[in-house]
Amino acid sequence: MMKSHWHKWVRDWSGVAPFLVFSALFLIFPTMYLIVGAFRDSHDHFTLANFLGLLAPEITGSFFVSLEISAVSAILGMGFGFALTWAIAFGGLPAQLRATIVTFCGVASNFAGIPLAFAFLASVGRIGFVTSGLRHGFGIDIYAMGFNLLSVGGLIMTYLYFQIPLMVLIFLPVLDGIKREWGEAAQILGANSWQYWRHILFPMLWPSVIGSAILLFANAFGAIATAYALTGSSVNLITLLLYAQIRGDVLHNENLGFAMAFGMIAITGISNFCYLQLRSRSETWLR
Amino acid sequence: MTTGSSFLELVSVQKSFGQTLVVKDFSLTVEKGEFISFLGPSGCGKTTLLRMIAGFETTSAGAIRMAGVDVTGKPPRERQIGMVFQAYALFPAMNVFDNIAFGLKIAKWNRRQIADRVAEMLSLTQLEGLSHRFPFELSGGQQQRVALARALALRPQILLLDEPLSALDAKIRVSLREEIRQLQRKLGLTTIFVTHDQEEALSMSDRIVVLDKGRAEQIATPHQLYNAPASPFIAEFVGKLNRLTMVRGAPHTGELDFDGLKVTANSSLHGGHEGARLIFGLRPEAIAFGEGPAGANRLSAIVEDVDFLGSILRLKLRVGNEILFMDQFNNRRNLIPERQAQVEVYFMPEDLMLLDESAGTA
Ligand SMILES: Nc1ncnc2c1ncn2[C@@H]1O[C@H](COP(=O)(O)OP(=O)(O)OP(=O)(O)O)[C@@H](O)[C@H]1O
Ligand SMILES: [Mg+2]
Repeated sequence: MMKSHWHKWVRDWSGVAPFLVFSALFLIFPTMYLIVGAFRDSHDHFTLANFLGLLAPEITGSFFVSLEISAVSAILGMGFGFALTWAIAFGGLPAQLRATIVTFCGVASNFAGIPLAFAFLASVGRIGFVTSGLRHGFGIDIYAMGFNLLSVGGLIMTYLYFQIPLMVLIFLPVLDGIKREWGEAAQILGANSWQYWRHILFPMLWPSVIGSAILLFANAFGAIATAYALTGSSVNLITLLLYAQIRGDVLHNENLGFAMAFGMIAITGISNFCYLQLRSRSETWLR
Repeated sequence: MTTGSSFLELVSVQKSFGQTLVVKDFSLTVEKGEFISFLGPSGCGKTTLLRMIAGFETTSAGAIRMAGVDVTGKPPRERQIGMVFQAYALFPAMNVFDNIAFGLKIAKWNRRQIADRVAEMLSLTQLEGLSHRFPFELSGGQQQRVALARALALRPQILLLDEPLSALDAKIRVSLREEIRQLQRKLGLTTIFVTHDQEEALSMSDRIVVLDKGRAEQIATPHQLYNAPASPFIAEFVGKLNRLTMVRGAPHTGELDFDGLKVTANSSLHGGHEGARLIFGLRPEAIAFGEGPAGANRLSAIVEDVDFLGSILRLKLRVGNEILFMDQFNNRRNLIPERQAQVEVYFMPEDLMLLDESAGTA
């Protein structure tokens, strides 16, 4: 009796054991270590000073830049992605083209780091082929006009390369769930297209739209490789600051680094929580 | 039912998608309060026709009139139509109350009026107490009731239903179809009901339009349709039918050869070429045990199988090399024949329906 019980336990849990060990080693323990560290000083005593340290202009500044880039790229990604998704879902495109776009989005949404940075440098960098093509072919010098790839704006543009496809991937299933009958039922009950949007589609879609935007935000907020490869450290992102801290301890305070990471975890965690809330909300209707 | 007032008229209506003609020269006159079914196999154009009446599809040719007014080019919202779809058509983010109230809100009714009308619809469709549920919290049958209530809330002139029961399980299907019919009678509502289920059409309709490949094959009452089908297609599509291939004997006698047996048909079928091959239809219930009255066609048969369908016994009979199905009411006083038993059966000449005739010699 006891033995078979033990056997069953082993059988049920052995499959997920590697996953549990893995997450314990690389997610749970480091996070706990980090959280505990954020509340300690260099002599291992409890303190809140690390969080006060976050108020240093260098750190608040980088938090702000990160938030700005993430928010703007998420909102733009949401907007363009929504339009593109709508066109894919309802534009009457040939099935072949739709499949191609979806495949491309799957690849592009994971395109990041050095290859992505290189692609943008090679096209719209200072000596990129688009930049020189415009200068020589049309006499338009985008850098003279104020454009700079290695800036907040340039970084946002680069992020859009994976933000828009990610929006398409998240949002296409939602739009595919819209039934033709809803529109027709609304029409026959006297609604015009605006009223159909206002009363039927909008209440159904907004949680998904906002939820997707939040996911894009978290995606951009945690990104580091693309920004590092593209700008080195000329754009002061919180992830880049933290990275520099880990490698070279520029702030000379390990526990302050923990507090920075804690702040990032909080922001990402809240974002994900909101995303899941909104998603489960729209999923109850659409199941 | 008020008679004589043609309420909905379709005049030589056509529809083509690109090169393919999907509805061909379709004409129909529906009276106020009539219950019409469109019956036909998949792809015959039932939905397309209904959507043309609703205004979701344009007509390629012909005209549609409602209460004497030409509505051919009008958008759906100007046609005073209620529509129930096959499934999934409730607004998912709205509860039952808001679904039913939607049309009323669009029409700018005030809160009091809306509440009253929705309450009336809820009781009409027996949905009291469910007004705060969301569609995902309802069964399929309840969802279709809500769809019905929503379609009726604005008191439409015409109700269109496109296979509203086909996604439901058998029991609910039968009870809901009776309910829809009762409601329709009570409200005197002109109704068009699309189905590919012949039993549904036969049991509900005042008249049935049988469609085949975009054309109306027959427009008739269920009775006429079943007993006097206008074409072989209808004879076979509506109800169960035995097909009997016979060879004509000497023309003046009206005698036919059915696999070596002598059979007589109705006198209207006398004449024609000797040796012609004729295909007849015979309903299973037209065959009975015994000798029958004088003039009956008598057959000796072997019972191959007995299918017990509750109120009906369906027997599979072998006559020579041919198979015939025979239906008999179940009656506890009757003996159920054994398999392989030899039985004597008969049918009357007038029950043979000619389906096809070819001059070929046997
Ligand atoms: N939008 C369209 N474009 C092209 N062809 C269409 C379109 N809608 C319907 N058809 C074609 O018209 C024919 C009739 O379709 P319809 O949907 O009216 O059939 P149905 O009788 O309702 O069939 P079912 O019982 O399967 O619902 C079919 O051959 C269908 O392929
Ligand atoms: Mg159909």
